[in-house]
Amino acid sequence: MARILTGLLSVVVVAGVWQLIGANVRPIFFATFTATIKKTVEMIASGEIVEAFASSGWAFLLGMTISIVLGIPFALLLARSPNLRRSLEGYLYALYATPMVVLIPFLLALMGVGLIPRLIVIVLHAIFPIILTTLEGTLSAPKPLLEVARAYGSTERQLWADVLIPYTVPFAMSGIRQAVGRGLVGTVASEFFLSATGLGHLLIGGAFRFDSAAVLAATLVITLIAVALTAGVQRIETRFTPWREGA
Amino acid sequence: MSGVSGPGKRAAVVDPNGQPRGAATRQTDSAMAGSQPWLPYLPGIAAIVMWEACAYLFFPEFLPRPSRVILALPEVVTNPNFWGSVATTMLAIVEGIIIGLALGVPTGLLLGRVTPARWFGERYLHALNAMPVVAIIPLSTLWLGYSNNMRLAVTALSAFLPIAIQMIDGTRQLPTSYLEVARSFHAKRSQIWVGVAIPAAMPFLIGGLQLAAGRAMVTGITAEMVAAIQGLGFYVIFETRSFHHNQAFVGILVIAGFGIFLLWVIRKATARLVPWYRPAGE
Repeated sequence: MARILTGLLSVVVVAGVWQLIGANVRPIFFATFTATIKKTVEMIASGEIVEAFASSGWAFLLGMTISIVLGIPFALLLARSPNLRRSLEGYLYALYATPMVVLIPFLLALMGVGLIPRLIVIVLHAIFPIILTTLEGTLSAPKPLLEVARAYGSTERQLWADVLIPYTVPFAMSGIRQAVGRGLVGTVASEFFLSATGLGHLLIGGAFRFDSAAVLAATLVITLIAVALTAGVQRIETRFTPWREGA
Repeated sequence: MSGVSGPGKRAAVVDPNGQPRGAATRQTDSAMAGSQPWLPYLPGIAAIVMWEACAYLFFPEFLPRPSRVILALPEVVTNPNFWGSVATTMLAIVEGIIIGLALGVPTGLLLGRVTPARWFGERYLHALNAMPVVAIIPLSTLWLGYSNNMRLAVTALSAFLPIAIQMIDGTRQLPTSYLEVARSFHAKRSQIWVGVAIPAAMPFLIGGLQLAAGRAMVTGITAEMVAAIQGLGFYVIFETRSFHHNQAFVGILVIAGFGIFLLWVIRKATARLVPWYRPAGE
């Protein structure tokens, strides 16, 4: 009870402080809470946010699908082949540590504005955590598990299907969770430069017009989507990996 | 397993050094390292050769080429503007991480140990942390202008969030047995904080710091590109727009190198300052 009350109080306090700041500075800097909500409703009603959401959401979904479909089999291949792993692992970690946003100007020069360069940016953000966590997961399968499976005469295919892949699922999921966060960064950042649509474009457009209510509205919508996505992935993660509870 | 965070909720950093932690498979790696030490160089060389060939055959313009990047090096290295950009970017990122650390650790400790404070504030931290921080850049340009302070603010924010959240988790998951031992030895409150709670949270702090370094770089560089502030991000976008792709690529190499360097520094500092910490499963 106290918890719910404190939570409600915090919402009231934050909205109140927001309203107070908004009312006391020029509206081009910081629109009030009520003005932002009003603008959000307006932008949803006019279809502006819906259209931007559809564009961003499509690019994000495609990019995530490509990253998962390419990343997980590639990680399993690396786990299978020690030579390939030894030759590529260092590069994968280096690429993982590189802020991929710097490639955006090159993609812009090469391919112009469009879906393909956006997808490339999203995949470059999302794929490396998936590959690396899945690889680490497969490699960290405890030796006793493998020995028992082999002792009972499991074939290579059975070893993968019944031991290695189930063992790897939680790692792959935590890679995907990380990839969702990075993929969102890629989506928004690519839309700053590589798109005439999308929520990122809405943000930049609003900032150029000094329309703080529109920028706040778009930021609010992006935050809500990101929170929903993160919660969703976490739920899937716990559902798919019940045997890891309390591990 | 906590380093790769199978079960843990947010300690989701792949240990960047890829240390051996598996049983069978990893041992074959080191056994074979002696026989073919050239193996890790192969893909790099192959990639450079293929890239050069593709650029030569298919993209005469707009694509940097390895040979021309090397030819562009002397020009870039003697360009004071380039070094100015390198310095200002690196400084902003390091400052951002330090500010994030200075604010994030106390915030995390407070919200981790004081329950009503957590009820009050944690949701906002999680919401902001889920949000792609680059999305705050347009708003920040309205508040702080197209300025270095804007870049510093967004860099510090993106470093602050993962550090604060990891610190909350770290202080909350303090094993009760630690506290019982401390109490049975009549440890004072301050001693429990300094001697037990903070050291126990260190592995979480390191996880947060690794996330913070990566995110601070991305946000800082994007801020430079969006707001045209002097720095490597702006250097790259400016040189690309002036059709100096090879010069711009030198900037990218420096950024990538700095990203790897930051993670390396954190790893070294971890080994020095938290010697009991093992990345995972060892």
